[in-house]
Amino acid sequence: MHNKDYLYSVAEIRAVENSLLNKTDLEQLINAPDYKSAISLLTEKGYKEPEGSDYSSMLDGELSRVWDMVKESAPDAQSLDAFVLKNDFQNLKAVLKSEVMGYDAKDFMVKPCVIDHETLLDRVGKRLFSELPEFISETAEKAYTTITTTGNGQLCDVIIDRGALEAILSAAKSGGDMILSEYAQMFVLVSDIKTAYRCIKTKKNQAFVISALAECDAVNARSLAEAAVSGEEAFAEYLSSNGLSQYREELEKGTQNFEKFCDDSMLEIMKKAKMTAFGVSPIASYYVAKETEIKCLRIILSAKLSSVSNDIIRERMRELYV
Amino acid sequence: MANYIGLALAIAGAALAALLSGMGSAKGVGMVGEAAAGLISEDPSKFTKVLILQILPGTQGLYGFITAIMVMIKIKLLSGAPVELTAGQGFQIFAACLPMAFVGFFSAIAQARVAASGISVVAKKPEQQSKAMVLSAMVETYAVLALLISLLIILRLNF
Repeated sequence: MHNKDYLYSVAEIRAVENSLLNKTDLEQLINAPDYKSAISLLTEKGYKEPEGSDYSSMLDGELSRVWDMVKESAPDAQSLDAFVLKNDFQNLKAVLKSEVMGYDAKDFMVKPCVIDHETLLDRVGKRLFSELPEFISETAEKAYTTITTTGNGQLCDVIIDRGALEAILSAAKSGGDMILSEYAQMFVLVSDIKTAYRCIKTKKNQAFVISALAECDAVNARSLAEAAVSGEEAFAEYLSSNGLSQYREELEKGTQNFEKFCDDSMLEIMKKAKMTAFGVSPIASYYVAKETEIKCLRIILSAKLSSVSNDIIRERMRELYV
Repeated sequence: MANYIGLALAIAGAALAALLSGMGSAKGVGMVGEAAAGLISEDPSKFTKVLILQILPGTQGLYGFITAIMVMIKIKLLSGAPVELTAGQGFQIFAACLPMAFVGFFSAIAQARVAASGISVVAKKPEQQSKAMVLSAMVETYAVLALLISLLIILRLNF
């Protein structure tokens, strides 16, 4: 048996999976009469009590705690980084924009991430891009040059977003795990569809759309860009001809439906790890499960604070791992 | 000289049975132990349940040991006055040890894989521990068959 079978980690993860919230738990939270009662139910399930209505920090802290546990359990599983790389690139955006606009980037930086905040701030501040990890160094330099020479924040975002997608694909592929690769492919596909759709709405030119899309197995970035530039009908036709008509249908129902559909589809991929005895995928699937759980909790708690009806909350709930 | 070759072959067979089966079991018990430690780090109360699963791949090492002892008894090595064996007779004993040696090695590792997966069953559904044990014990069948074949051949050799 190879080291990458992660015997210790998988058994540990299977044990902690028992504490994931299930549909009944979420239903109880949705039915809680108010925010305070929902928090009280959550603390019974092991979550920390937030300070007042700042549930977001509490949930961020919980996700970081889970990531730390996962990394501690399988420290050499580099492919797991694919699940938090998006946060590193998000942090890069915050740091670069703070450099230009002069605000404090720390207020916009998120966790969990691979590069700690201080390191990223220091390297970008000193323009030492080559000292950043390989997956981000080139993108960071390119984005910095773009924002300082053109002042175009949107173009800078496009460079960083594409860099993130390519880094995620590469990290997931590095471990050789089929489930992780499939997840990363779907992540890129969904991002490409969203980006292309946004480009249609904002009437971007072909060069811009091509530069914003990353290559993935399901679609050809250039063809998707061409379809997007030709208009909504051509875009819909392209998706249908590539077996992606359901994505088109969900997009037509609205962004929220599309986001929910994508989240559920990606979780469905990770659910395959339930039947996997060894390897990195059961560990990764636990992190995704926790991430989904926290996403649901954000929706519930935010809705409780703003007194949104229970039916609307139920509509927005994601599928759970357990 | 021919007598020594026969005896050497018989001893080599006994050593191989003990060696390969022991190696397989050591690796297998280690693998299940690693998985068990992961579970115990989160839930120490499941120690006894996982201990049984960890023991299962250890039996092949015991079977290899029994095979080696039977060879030593057969050639009267334990009494200090080993019988004189021709090269052919020595090779017969050597061949008799091979089933236990190889099946012991591979079945211990295969059984460990099932037992390590069984640790996940205990983690998620402790009440299903017996099913995890049965699945793992199925692999044992082939180690037992190999032991039987090795022992029957050793016992039936006439010299």
